[in-house]
Parts: sequence; structure tokens; C-alpha cells
Amino acid sequence: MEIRHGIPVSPGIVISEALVLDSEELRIPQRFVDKQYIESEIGRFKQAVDDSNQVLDEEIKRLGEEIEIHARILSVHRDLASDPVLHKEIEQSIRDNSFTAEHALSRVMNRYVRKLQDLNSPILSERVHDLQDVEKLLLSTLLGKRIEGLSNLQDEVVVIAHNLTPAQTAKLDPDKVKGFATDVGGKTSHTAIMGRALGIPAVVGLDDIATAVVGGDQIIIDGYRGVVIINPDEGQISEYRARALKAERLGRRLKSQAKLPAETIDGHRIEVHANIELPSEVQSAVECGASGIGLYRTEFIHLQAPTAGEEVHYENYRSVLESLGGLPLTIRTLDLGGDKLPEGGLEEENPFLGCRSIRWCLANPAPFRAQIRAILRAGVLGPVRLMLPMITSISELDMSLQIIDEVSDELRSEEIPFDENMPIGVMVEVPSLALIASHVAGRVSYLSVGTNDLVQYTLAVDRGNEHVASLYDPMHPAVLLLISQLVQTGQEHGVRVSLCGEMASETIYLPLLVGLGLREISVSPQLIPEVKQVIRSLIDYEVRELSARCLRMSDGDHITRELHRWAVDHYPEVVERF
Amino acid sequence: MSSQQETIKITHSSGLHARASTEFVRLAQRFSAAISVSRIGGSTVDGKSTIAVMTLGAQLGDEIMIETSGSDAEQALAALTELVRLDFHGV
Repeated sequence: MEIRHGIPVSPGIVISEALVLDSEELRIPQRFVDKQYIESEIGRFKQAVDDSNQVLDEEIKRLGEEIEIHARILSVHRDLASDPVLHKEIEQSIRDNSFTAEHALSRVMNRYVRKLQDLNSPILSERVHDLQDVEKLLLSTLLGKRIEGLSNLQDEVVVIAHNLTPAQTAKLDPDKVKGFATDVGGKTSHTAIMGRALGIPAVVGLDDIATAVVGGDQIIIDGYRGVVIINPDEGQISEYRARALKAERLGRRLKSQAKLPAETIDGHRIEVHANIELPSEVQSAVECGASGIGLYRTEFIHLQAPTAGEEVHYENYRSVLESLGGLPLTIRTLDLGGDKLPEGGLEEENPFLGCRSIRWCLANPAPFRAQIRAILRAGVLGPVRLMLPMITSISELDMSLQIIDEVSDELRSEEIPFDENMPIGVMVEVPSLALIASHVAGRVSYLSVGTNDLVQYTLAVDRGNEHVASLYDPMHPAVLLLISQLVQTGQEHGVRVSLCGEMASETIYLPLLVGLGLREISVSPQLIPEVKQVIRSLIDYEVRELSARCLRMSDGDHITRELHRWAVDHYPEVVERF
Repeated sequence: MSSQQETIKITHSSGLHARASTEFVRLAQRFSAAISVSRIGGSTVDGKSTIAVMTLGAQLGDEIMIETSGSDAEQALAALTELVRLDFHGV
């Protein structure tokens, strides 16, 4: 039994068998097969050899004319892959030990690698690389087959990996995959997004889970607390079974009420929107009761196809609006840089203080303009709001607004229909902008607090750095003061203020946020039912008093404790679940 | 079934390394005869396996013994000893 802690990125609890994928390709998922499958395992190996050879043949033919030396190396690989002695030994190893083809292959290959190394000849030791290449080729062919075969896998699995790539997740059968756990990643990593999109628990940032777990191990993934237990004992299994059942029951109950409005007991309505990253998430957002998309991250469109032009963006927004069926969509313009590096981007000492987000867009106006054109045009299809991220000064804001004006003029002169009155807003993610909010308010239709970056920039704490993670405190009084002043400024100027960071996902913070006067928040789709449930248990004047009390406190820990106590008193069933 | 053998010295500067062993094995595979190779003072391996011939570790100056048996054993032995003598055509 072994307990690991990471970052919870998709809620839920699962107890299942592990399927381990490797960082480069795939790690051997299991070492042994049942005796009755020995022949089919040998068949798998032979098929993999045939398939690999076919790949090599095509490659050799393609290279043949131009790069003869490379083709010659590949033909050596082909010889090695078809080596009769190798085949005999691998077959023997599968038969004698009930090894999987992958395990047998890698053991036999290892033996020859060692033999070559022992010969102490520099020429032969170079051949070690050839052998390893062949091993990798055969292994990935074998494992690729197994992954494709996941669709007819009998058992459900949790996928353990160094880092999940879109290519890997695309092959997984969503009906059989019940959870993710990875070595690296954050709240916005591909693993996190896929976990939430599939509605299965996911934990990332586990350091070396991919090497600690062996295929077939029993695994508990707790996507609420960010805990992964390898080969749990009986007590843990029954404890987690009970918790999973409780969470499931609560989830079902909450979901059945998800479409009800989020209104406090004394009748103050809070709009709960969804943060999404992929068009495929819209459906689950609507099912979970979202009253709109409060943050549509568009980096994916650009990262998948850096040359994606106006039409690619437009088509994407069109499909999102279609699934939204008239609900509002807030599109954030490209927020590249920081931890989302554009291809061929700058190498910076300190990327979070560097040319990221709106700075990158202003420095690279072509993709920025193309995106703005697409957003303005999409406004004809449904209620769209445009949101500019990472603005730090009025001049930056004015430059961006000017580009929007220019693009509008272009569209007008080209007689292309677009939304002339689209609400334009900014994300308040940097303290400098929060502090000059009164100057900003006259220029925009709304302000949206992005808490992840606001906390990071206010406290000078890199949220991805585990050495200072404990200093990352969303309840730091300075952060609360900035948010509270911003809400006040918004009220004074008649400009709507919303909040779309992780802060609103923590149910214990909700009373404070409502008490501060926020009337629109945006969270991950899966969290909407419980967020709405919590809001429905609040009384506005009570939480206003609570937040006034919190604002007088000097220590973030005290504030957190106060809020936790409050939550346990007022909505224990939601808090205890965590 | 006839079985024949011949011992021959490696004169190729880099021994029976990967490419030389590839040439050797590719030639050996053209014959139906069973072919084995031994390094004098070392092990005996299947002459139709690159990986086995490679790990034989036969270097410049080493003596190897080629043994063939089967219908075309004679031709196989002649061709293979010729290949070693010609330093694997200089690969």
C-alpha cells in the first residue's frame, strides 16, 4: 500500500485496475498473461513483427533513393526485427513464463543489449542503439495494438501516465477508462480537461506515479482531495467505496436540481456560468445547469493549429454557440505564453512576467486580428462577449480596443455581418488593473476577475511551483481587498463584475464571494450543481456580514478557518464530501 | 545429409560487427542448409541470426568455424568462407 498526493483536477472517486502508459510511448501494461492466452500472445508478437516490418519496408523504400545510408540502417533494423533466434527466444519466454509479448520482448532484448555491452567493443556498443530502436518499434507496435484493443477490454481501468497526450487519449475507450493519474500537469493540462470532459476523477502532479505503479495494480483515485492509493488495503477500499457511494448519491441529487436557478434564500440571483476549453464540454456544461459560458479558453485552437485563421476560429465558435442554444458565450482572446507556450515562442527567463497573453497578441497582431474578426462575426449567431486577458494598463487596453475598432471598420467596409454592439470586457488578473479599475470601468462593459493569476501576481507566488505552493493563498487579505474594491467600483460605475477563477470552485469560499457582492461566477462544468446548491442555502445579508468580518481579519489562515466553520454549519453535506 | 566445416581467420579490420554480420546472415539465409558459426574459444551460434552472430564478438584476428549441413551445405560453406575472405565486400 502506498499513498501519493497530487493536484486534484477532476472530481470523483474511483477504485480500479491500472493501465500504465509511458512518457514516450507506452509502458508495459502487464507482465503476465493467463495460460490460456499464451498462444494468442505469441500471435500478437508475430503480428507486431509483421506490422513493424511493413512500416520499415515503406520507410526504406521512401528513403532509398535520397538517403541511402539511413535506409541501410533501417534495413539492419529490419533484419533484427525478423531475427529467427530472437523470435525463438521470445516465443520460448512467453511459453515458459506466461509472460506478455511486451515483457518477453523487453527481457530478451535486454539480455542481448547486455551481451553486446559486455563485449567491450566500441563498434558493437553502437549496435546497442539499433537493438533498442528495434525494441522500441516492436513495443510501440504491440502496445498500440493493445490500446486499440481497449475497445474490447473486459475490465474498466484507470490510466496512469507520465503525461497524457491528445494522441493517447484519443485512442482510449471512454467507456472503459474510469480515471487518470499523471506525473506532471496542472489544472489546465490536457489530462485535467479530458478528465472533466469525460466526467471521471483525475489527479495530476504526482511526480513519479507512472514508475511507482505497475500495470494491473489496484488503484484508488480521489479526485476531490488529490490522493492516489496504490494497492490499498481492505479498510481503505471499504472507506473509499462508502465515500464514492455518498458522493455519487449527492451528485445525483445535486444534478437533479442543477437546472434550478442559483438564488439565495432571500432572492438574490447569482448567474453560474461554466469555464470550458473544448467545444465538446458545452453539452455537459448545459446539462450541469450552466447559464452560459463565462470563460471560453481559446488557446487550444491556436496550439492545435498555429496557423489557424479566422475561419477555423469562426467555425469553432459557431459550433459552441449552436450547442449553447441561446445562452451567452464569453470568448477570451488568446492567452498564450506563461505555461501555454506557442510553437517557436520566445525563450524567456521569467515567462509569467514576460511576453504572454495580450502582450503576445499585441506583438503578433495577425493572429489576434483574425481571432477578433471571428469573434465579432460569431456575435451574429448568438450572444457573444469578447474578453481581453492580462491587461495591465490603460494604454494596453486602448491599443486592444483600437484594434477591435479597426477590425470592425474592416468588416463593415467588406459588408460582412457582425455584432456592432458586442460587450467588450477585460479580465482583471493583475493588481495594477484592479487598482485603476475606476479608469477602466468607463471603457468596457464588464470586468471579470481571473483569480488564478490575480493571486499569483498579488502574492508573487508561482502557482505551478511546489516549493512555494503553500504561499499561494487565495484568502490572503490583499487578494480579498482587491476583489472587494473592484466589486464596489463596478457597482459605482454600473459595470458588471464577474469572477472566473478556481476560487469560485472551492465551495467554502462561495459565501464570501456572494457576500462581497459578486453576482456572476464561472466554474468547471462538473462543479456547477454543487455551487448552485450552496448558493441556494445562503442568505445575502448573512453572507454580507460574514465577508465584512473576513475583510477585517489580517491573516488568510484565519479567514479560511472562519469560512470552513461557516460551511460546516450551513451546508455540511457538500463540505464533508471533501 | 552432409555436414561440412571450415575454420577461417577474420581479416576485416572491424571484425564481425553489425554490418559484416548482416552481410553474413543475409547470405546464409539464402541457403536451406543449417548453418552455425563458432568463435574458436567462444560460443556457437545460429548463422542465420544477426543478433546471434553480432554477439559472438568475433574481432580482427579471431578464428571462426563455419559449419553447414543439409542439401546445399557445400555451396553454403563455399559462399560464406568466400565472403569472410573478401572482408565482407568491404562493408
